[in-house]
Amino acid sequence: MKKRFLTTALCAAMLTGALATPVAAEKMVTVSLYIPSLATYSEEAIAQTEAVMNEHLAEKYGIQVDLQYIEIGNFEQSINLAMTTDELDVTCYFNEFGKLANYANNGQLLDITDYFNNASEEFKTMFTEAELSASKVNDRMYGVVRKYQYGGKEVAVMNKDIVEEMGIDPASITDMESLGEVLYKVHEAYPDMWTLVPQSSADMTWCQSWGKAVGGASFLYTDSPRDTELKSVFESKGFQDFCSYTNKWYNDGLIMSDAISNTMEGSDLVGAGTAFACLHNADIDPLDKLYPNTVVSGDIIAPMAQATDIGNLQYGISSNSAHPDEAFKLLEAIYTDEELIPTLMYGVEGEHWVYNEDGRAALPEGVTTENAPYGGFVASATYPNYTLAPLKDSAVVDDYKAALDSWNESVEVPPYFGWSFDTTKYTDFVTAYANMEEKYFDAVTTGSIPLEDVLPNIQSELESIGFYEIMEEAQTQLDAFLAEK
Amino acid sequence: MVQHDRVQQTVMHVFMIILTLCCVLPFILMVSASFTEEAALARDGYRFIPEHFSLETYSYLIKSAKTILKGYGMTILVTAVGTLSNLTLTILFAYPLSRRDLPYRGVLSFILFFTMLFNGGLVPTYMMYSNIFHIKNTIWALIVPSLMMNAFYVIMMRSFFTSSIPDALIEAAKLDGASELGVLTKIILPLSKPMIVTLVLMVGLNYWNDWMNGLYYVKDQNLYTVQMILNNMINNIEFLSRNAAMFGADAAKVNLPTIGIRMGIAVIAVLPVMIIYPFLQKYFVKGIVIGGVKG
Amino acid sequence: MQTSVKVHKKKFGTLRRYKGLYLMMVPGLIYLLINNYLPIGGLALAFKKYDYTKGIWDSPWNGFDNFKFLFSTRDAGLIIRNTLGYNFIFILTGTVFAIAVAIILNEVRGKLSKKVYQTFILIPYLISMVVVSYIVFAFLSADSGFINNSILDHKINWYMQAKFWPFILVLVNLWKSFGYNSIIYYATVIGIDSSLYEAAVVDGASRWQRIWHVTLPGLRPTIITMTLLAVGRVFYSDFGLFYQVPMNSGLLYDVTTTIDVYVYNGLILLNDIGRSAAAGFFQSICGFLLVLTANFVVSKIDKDNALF
Repeated sequence: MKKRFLTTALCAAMLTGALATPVAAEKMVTVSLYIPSLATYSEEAIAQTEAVMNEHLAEKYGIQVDLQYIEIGNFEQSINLAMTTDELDVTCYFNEFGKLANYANNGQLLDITDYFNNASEEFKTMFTEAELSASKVNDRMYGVVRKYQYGGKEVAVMNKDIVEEMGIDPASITDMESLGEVLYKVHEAYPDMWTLVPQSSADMTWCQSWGKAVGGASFLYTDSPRDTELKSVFESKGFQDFCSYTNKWYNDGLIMSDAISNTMEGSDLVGAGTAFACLHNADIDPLDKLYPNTVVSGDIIAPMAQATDIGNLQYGISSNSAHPDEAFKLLEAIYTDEELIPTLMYGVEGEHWVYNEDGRAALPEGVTTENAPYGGFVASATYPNYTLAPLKDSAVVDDYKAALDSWNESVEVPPYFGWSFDTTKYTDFVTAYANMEEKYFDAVTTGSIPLEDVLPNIQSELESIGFYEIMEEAQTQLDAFLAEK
Repeated sequence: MVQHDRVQQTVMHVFMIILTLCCVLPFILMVSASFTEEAALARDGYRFIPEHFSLETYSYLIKSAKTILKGYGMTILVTAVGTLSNLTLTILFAYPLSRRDLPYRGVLSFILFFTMLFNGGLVPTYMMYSNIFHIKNTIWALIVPSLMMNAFYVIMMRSFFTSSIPDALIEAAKLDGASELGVLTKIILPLSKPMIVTLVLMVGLNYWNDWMNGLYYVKDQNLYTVQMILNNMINNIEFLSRNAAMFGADAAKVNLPTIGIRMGIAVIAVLPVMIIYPFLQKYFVKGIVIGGVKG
Repeated sequence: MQTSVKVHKKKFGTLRRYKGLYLMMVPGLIYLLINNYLPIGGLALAFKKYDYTKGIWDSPWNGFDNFKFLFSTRDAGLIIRNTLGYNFIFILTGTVFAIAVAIILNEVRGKLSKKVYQTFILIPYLISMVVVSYIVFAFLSADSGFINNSILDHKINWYMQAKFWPFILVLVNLWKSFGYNSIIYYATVIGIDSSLYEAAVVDGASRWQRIWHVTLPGLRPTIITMTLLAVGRVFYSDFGLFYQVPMNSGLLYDVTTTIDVYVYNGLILLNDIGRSAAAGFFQSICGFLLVLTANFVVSKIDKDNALF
């Protein structure tokens, strides 16, 4: 009796096209989606957005979503905990230094290879070979990468007033040597000012000219991203060159003496006129638009990718998810559904964002980036696929997808890309190495101490923790990979 | 003799004044940094009296006043409920342990003490609280896990009972026919004010300063406490300074709070305690023990 | 036979007599059971290769593998030395100083000044370690620091010279914690039976004699308890103090790395639950053995003040 009633009710609901009524919603599986938040979201805005998304999801996929935004600084810890239970279904995760291998090896992420092979053409063809291999461990797929520009170039961000006053031609700066010439000139004119400061905290630069994290291993480097001979970072030519510049500059008083204990952002100091310049990574967005009162130099390093730049942020499914089928449906939808993505990223149209007269997405009257209730519009970098989002009024390009494709084509991809080194056998070594690198890395990159002085020490420490044997093993594997390629 | 005493008093006051200054001056430096222009901090260095006075920090904080006020409300609620429950559990547990005649006293003490050294670790605790007790995103998540009873405070309370409450007092009360609970509430607690105040202060501070439970169990912003707001901010800075390259230009769009703002929030998190503490102090009164015995 | 029944009866009778006391402990025991003892099975993680899909019980055992990483560096000795060394200095300096302050607080006259002192010495305890690290930086920064700018006439790069840091860390720790500890001791001093003081005054004891013969013996149980508890945690270290306050400057590594810092740096990339559990287990068990020994010694000398 009851059954018949339900069936009738369902038929009636289908006939009237109102599948999203609460009766039906109860029967649908709710899939949680964890996204790191870069800007702020109010609980109310999240609920509104979720409701709009759910209406669409119910109709098209028969599932519901539970949006979970987590502060970016707490994100990794939160998902690691949530993965121990079944509360998490679809999640973003970070993959710098081959973390994916750990996620897979710890059994945290679901192997989605079969799901992906049976997915829609649109989803499957969205990713390049490089992007696909970035989400694989031992040929099994554990997630899909964020559609994003990869790699970067390095520039110097300089204080505009000083550049204009001293008549410096920003385009003339194309390498460390020419940057040095300018720095010395500025130092002479403004001896009390910091001439060069780290990009952020104690990090001199985020765009490193040496090949890093080869094979996804935190400890494997090469002389440059073009080389394939594995080295310790401290023995890499690119790294040594960089350090000899910074050390000379440090000794001559060009670099802030506190570089190693700095907690400020270089671009802030430069914009405020407290410092003259900092090195900075750059990609599609021009930096001088971002930082007021600054000028950007020519490319010190041309656009190039590191092994972990591709797919350093990915989306996958927790292996403890109670509803993997539905979770995959949602995963596919947040990459491919043109109706869903704008709501997910910018919030409810007409409420959290509007189309302006140019047909671009903009914040409504009276709402600023500082008080926007749904932060996705302000900072969208953690979402899976921004190429399907409406163009923002602040965008410097005319088409996100075209801009992304042309940038990615201009980026040089290292020859070892696609090769991954399984570090899970060497966990104890990795912990010892991480502490070793922590000890010296910032000190020599900021130029606070000369690399030559500590190199013998470093080498004997590397020797004692067994670095060279592991590197040899890795080299053999890499050579085999290259030969096959 | 009197002269001698005056010298001693002066020496002690001078010592305490120096000590107080040592505690206060860094705090003042922090307050002053929150009133200084960010650029001036880097340019002229830290000063006790800001040369380039700026209200930037506090105008930023006022803009987010709604969040911060709500955070205050939450902090106060959690602290009040938490401290009360903790004190109840602690006193009820500590008093029997302080009784030398209690059978199995050693075993019970050990059960308690063991928890100070060994714990199951974050993951099993998390799994239990979120799977069995479902406290995620509820106010209980901020009150119950790890903070509601602490072996350290139970042991302190026990030592106080042992050393400061004469056994004769308990015997006398029992001869008068008082129940154990009666002895505890009518005789012992009034004599234990200094220790209770101390524990209220310490447990209260633990709740006031806690952000860990929030980090593990709370995502709902309506449940954010002031410390969570401060801590989230600092975690975000820490994370972005390690990984910002991952977000390209968007990392820069995120408003990373300046050092002034970080200091400002720390200041407003400390202020209420500085206001409340002097009121608690009047309960540190000497001479009650002897009064109790006489009475 | 009969006697045994009698003993049983007597024991049962005693237990009944204490029913009220046992009932009082029930809420606390339930809380300990839930909060502390139910998850304690998690200690097994230290001996397992944790697999998220399998959970705690079904993950495979791997013996002592998880512990190896703690000793996989030749700095292992240095790290343990730092952890223990700092902790012992902290216990010593912290206890002596806190007791001195507590006694002075008790002896000093003036209601208002007492209040002022007590309130202000508590401030450092209220400031979170990260903020403390900014304050320390405000003093020590080479270019903009208060000390280099306003006190010294030459520049010292504090964050690059390891020799200063043992002192800085001890000082920061003392600064941050003495107010809180003083208040614990102060509460005990207040609790000391005033008739003892009165008797001492009648006997003509000077202030020092009163402190020596009445106050300090009165503080003894608290000192022993606090020290025993601190001994149990000598293998732990305040991560914030050793990582954030030195701004994680690599040049200070030799004098600032403790077990917790090493574990953090080593495991941050790995999500390795088994190894974190192993590190915690190692710290707990070593502390536990130390406390057992210390408690044994205490119980030989002074049975009443032993922890259990």
